[in-house]
Amino acid sequence: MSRSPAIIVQGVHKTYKLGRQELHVLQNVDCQVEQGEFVSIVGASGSGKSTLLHLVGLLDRSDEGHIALSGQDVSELSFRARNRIRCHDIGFVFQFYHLFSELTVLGNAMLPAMVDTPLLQWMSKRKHYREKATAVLEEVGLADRLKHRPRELSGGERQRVAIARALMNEPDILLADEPTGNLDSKTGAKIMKLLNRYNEKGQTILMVTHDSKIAAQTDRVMHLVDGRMAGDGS
Amino acid sequence: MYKLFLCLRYLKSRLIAYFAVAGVALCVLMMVVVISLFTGFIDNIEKAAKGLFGDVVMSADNQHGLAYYDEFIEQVKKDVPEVQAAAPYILSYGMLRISGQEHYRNPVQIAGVRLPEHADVSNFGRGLFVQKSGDLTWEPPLETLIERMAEERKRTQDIQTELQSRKFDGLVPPEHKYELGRVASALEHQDDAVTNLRNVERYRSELKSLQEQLEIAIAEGIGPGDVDLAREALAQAKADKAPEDKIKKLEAKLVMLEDAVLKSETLQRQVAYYESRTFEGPEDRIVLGLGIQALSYRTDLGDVVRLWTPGQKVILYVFPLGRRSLDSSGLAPEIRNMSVIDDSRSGVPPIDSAFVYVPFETLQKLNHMEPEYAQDDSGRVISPGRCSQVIFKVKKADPTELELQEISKRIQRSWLTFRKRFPGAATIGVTVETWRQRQRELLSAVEGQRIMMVIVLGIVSIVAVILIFVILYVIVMQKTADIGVLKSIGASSVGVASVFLLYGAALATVGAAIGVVLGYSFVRNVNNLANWLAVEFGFAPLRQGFLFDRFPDDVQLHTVIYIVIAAILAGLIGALIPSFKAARMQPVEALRYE
Repeated sequence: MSRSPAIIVQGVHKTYKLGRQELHVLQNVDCQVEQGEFVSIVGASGSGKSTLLHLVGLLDRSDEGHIALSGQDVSELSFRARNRIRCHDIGFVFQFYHLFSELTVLGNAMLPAMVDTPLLQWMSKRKHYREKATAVLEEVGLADRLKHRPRELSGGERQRVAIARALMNEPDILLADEPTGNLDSKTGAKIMKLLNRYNEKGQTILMVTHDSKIAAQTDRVMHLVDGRMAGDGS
Repeated sequence: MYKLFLCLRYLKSRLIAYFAVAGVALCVLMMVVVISLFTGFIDNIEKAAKGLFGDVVMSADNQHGLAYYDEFIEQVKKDVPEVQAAAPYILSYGMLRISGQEHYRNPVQIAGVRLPEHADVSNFGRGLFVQKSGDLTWEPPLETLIERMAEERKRTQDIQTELQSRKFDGLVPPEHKYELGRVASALEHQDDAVTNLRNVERYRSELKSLQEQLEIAIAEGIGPGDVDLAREALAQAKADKAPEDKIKKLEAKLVMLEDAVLKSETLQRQVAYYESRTFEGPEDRIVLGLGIQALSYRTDLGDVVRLWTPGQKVILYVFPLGRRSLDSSGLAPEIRNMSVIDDSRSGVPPIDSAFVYVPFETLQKLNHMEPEYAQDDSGRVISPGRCSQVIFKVKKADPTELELQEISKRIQRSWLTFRKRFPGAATIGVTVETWRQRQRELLSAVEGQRIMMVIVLGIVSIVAVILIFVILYVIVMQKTADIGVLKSIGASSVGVASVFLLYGAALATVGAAIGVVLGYSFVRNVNNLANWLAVEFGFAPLRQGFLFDRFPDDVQLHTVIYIVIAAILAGLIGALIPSFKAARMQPVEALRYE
């Protein structure tokens, strides 16, 4: 494939300051995810895997090193440009779903499209986005839950809504932070199946997990130990 | 788009939002009520103060007064064409008593006014009870007096009926018994007044018919002094030993004439008696201020009950302050019986509780300011009549203070040239003032109240700001994870801030709308509410003075607009810091927040 890799991480350092103490969360991390690949990062709690995911997802900035998404170096971009990339090119799935309790399932799924569309344009595009969100929600198996509130759903269903929301703007990369971490193994397996299905359709996915069984279901597993890449295997 | 969408959803589905809305609604309710009632009161007082003494008043700097006032008024009308009307005015001091009520005495200020001129320069005519319309006069028609008194009697009876219909659990409170006694006594006095007036009317008409009979008799050949003539004719006939039938005829004629004269004399005496009970001559008439102690009072529902009404009489003591008071006669009061023909309410309590109004020329005499004539037959004026003040009304409907001050200056200039022509017009200087300058004490008190109101409302606004701030702060803390998610899907910091700014404004707008509706309903029904409180709980805020019958119940549109704008601003200001905090939140931190 001549296309540039979906994600390139080069020599990334990240340090947090806790009072006077400096905590080196990531040290000289290199890694790469190809387009259409489903990669998992495995590590113990505090190994820096979530931090890496946040750096890739432009929710945080690295102290040193470079990150490129689809061939574009995003390390030095302006706030505005980073917002745009977060909106169009990246989808996030969180361990605790982070759904808006005031919104319906449909409303939650449509939110990224709303962030992307000014008020005046929304009037004309509303129907289109509604249909698109409905279609995505049908894909994740929530066709009959559109009008429900998050509190009326099970954990697995909530995570499906979160996945639908992440995919609403058709991002290049889907970032998943322990997507099964809050679910029982049976439901977790179903979510993994869903992610695999999207991956088969060509969706690039980078997933963080501490569960090696879950990680085993991905194309490739990267191990983070104390902020350093320890190994890379298929 | 998400800003409006989220803001509306937050508004609908968060309990804490209802508290914010309720808080703003209460603040707005309070503002609408306080501003409407207060500006209503203040406007009424200002309007009343303005109507008291025309637009501009010229006063003598001593009690000696101003002479040649009619000539001066003519000159001012030429010199200052903006002046529409002017009238002389006398102010003196005295005491009011009521015949048969030994213990009643009340100090009063006495105004000598010309009618109808005084009504052209002030609002005097608008506050009268009997003479509601038409040209004012010191001799209102008897029918009008009777008609108005009959209406008043009926109104007082309605008040009595309402009082009697009140129910109490257990013992009737003594104050209620006292109220019943007062209203019964008012009805007695009013009955007296009506009976007197009716008797005057009846005897006057009988007198009139008898006078007509007399005139007919005169026309038939009996002239004045005909009784004497008839008596002489009879004596002559008897002396001449005239025929029997002629003597009988003359005797019958004499009896008829004597009867007619006797009847007419009796009637005239009766009329005089009743007139003396009800009506002094046209120069001895008085208008009482509605608010003079014990002559009227206000019920707990704000209704005025008149105890001493037109048709009754008072005794007026005037302490003469004019020229002769300085010589040996000293300050011995002039005492006059006066017939009450009306009462006046200006709307300014210190005026209404202290002032009585009498004819200008009457007070001129009683106050020793009347013209003095030479003792010879020439009729030469030795000393001209005087007044204390001249009141001017300008043509423009709502003149500004500056315009009035300008006119005052020109009146002052006109006076200076006038004094060259009439050096005796005043013994010392005069002061020309606008109504605002004249009422500065009252108005500065009102102004003080207005400042107090602004301070109170300022505090209320700060409370609203703090309320919104606290509630939005709590909401931002609760929504920290949502803020992280919003940022993770590409929302900008400004976007996140505007969600909460918009939310603050929306809370304030909804609260303001509810507050305006509640405040409007409250103000419009404030009089019903006051009556209900008075009847059910004996709480009677209206009784404190004779200021107004009713609470002002107008809500001004511009007031509402200002309040709503202020509320929305308060919402935005309160939302400012929480919004800023939300915007500054790092997405990673926010997402970690549980």
